[in-house]
Amino acid sequence: MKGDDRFKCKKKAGSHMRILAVDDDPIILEILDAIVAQMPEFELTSAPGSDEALEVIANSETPFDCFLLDIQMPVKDGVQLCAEIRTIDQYRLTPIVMITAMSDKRYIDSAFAAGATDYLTKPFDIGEVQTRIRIAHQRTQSVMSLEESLYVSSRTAYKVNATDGKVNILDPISIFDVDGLVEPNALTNYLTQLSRGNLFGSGVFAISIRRIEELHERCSGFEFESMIADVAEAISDCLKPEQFLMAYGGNGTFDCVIHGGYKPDLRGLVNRINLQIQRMDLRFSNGDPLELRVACGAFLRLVWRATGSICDALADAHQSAEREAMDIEKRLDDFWFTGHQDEVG
Amino acid sequence: MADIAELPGLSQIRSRFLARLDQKILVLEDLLEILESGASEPPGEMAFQAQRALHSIAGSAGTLGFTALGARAQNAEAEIIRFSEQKLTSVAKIKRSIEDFLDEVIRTAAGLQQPSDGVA
Repeated sequence: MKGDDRFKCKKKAGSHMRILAVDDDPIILEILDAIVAQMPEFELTSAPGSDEALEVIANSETPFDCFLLDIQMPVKDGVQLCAEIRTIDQYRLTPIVMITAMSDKRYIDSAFAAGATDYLTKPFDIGEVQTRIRIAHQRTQSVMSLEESLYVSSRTAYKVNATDGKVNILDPISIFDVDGLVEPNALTNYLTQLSRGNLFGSGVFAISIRRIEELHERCSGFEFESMIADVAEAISDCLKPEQFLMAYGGNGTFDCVIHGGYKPDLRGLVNRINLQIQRMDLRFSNGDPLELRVACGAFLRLVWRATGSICDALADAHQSAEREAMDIEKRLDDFWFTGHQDEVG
Repeated sequence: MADIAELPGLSQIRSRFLARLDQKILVLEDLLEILESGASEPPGEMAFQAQRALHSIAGSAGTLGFTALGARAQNAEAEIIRFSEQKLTSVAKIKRSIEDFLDEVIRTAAGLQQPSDGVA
């Protein structure tokens, strides 16, 4: 890498957050370099294309803490590059900010689905670029603290409770290799930057695992995260081929955003997901059957929401699903309790 | 630091941007010539090159203080995309949008001659 003019890196003294910017336009790279030069705690390396970026990544002794990827690049575009970076174990959780022009908006959905966590729009607002980089930095730091107590299996990484080796029930779990599943902060970033036109025909809802506290109590850490990953897979399979993104928000609840004017038949969807889960024949590690069902909350259209309250819609949908999950269990409890009383009487 | 004028090395970046503009303008002028000769639609490869040139200008011009130039480039790029992907616009509209962009190049160049112009 040394002496190769294609890859530029301005070294700064001391320890820095390392950013890799990839864009085929040298002017954009120069602008980003000038912007980052004003931020003493950051160091920027640049690459003029996807293949060069992968070469830089492979040869870098110190890992990068954040990626800035242009979407439209010849040969291999930024969305493909994003997906490839996500296949590298070391970078499964690293912030990836897509650099987009107005004409790239149509690629945003696929960028998030490929693992992007945020995006910046050209022409740049310099303050906005710096804010986004700092947000990515904070995220990297929180991931690093998470990694101190991180259990990594072949499919997932999750926060482990230091005392009993189990992820906290309310904590999000990072799940990989499930179509349409992104991290919660990526889903929020995606929603907050949707244009009014995109909001038309979009809606949110959430799916919650019933009796999650009881299941969490019974499961080991590994069983719990495997169960969440399996449910994610079942939801994703049942939502295809619709355009959707979803995130696991903790507490057994998945938040979903759906596009294209499609309003799902929620009852039918829940039935399909439950059937899919049943077919998976989930079991505890001792062989006992792991029986679970999901419930779905209200479907909320986004077009009526003011931009600032779109994330509130996601929170409302999340709570609605959790309420519905609890209500179903309560109705079942009441049914059995009433039945028992009648029998006694 | 959130003001473009305070960006270190801004005037050098602007100079390099303007130097590269020449090549891109040639691509657009070639396409315009074909369209003015009565072509029923822009040739695929030429349209692609023109769209790439406009995309690049639209991305950086605004950041460097050439806001109107960036907006015209963005508009012309959108017209080419609309035509090549869905035929939702006409050749006349593409032609007009490129002409508008080239007019803006001239205005920008004239503005750069005046001492009060720009942020550099």
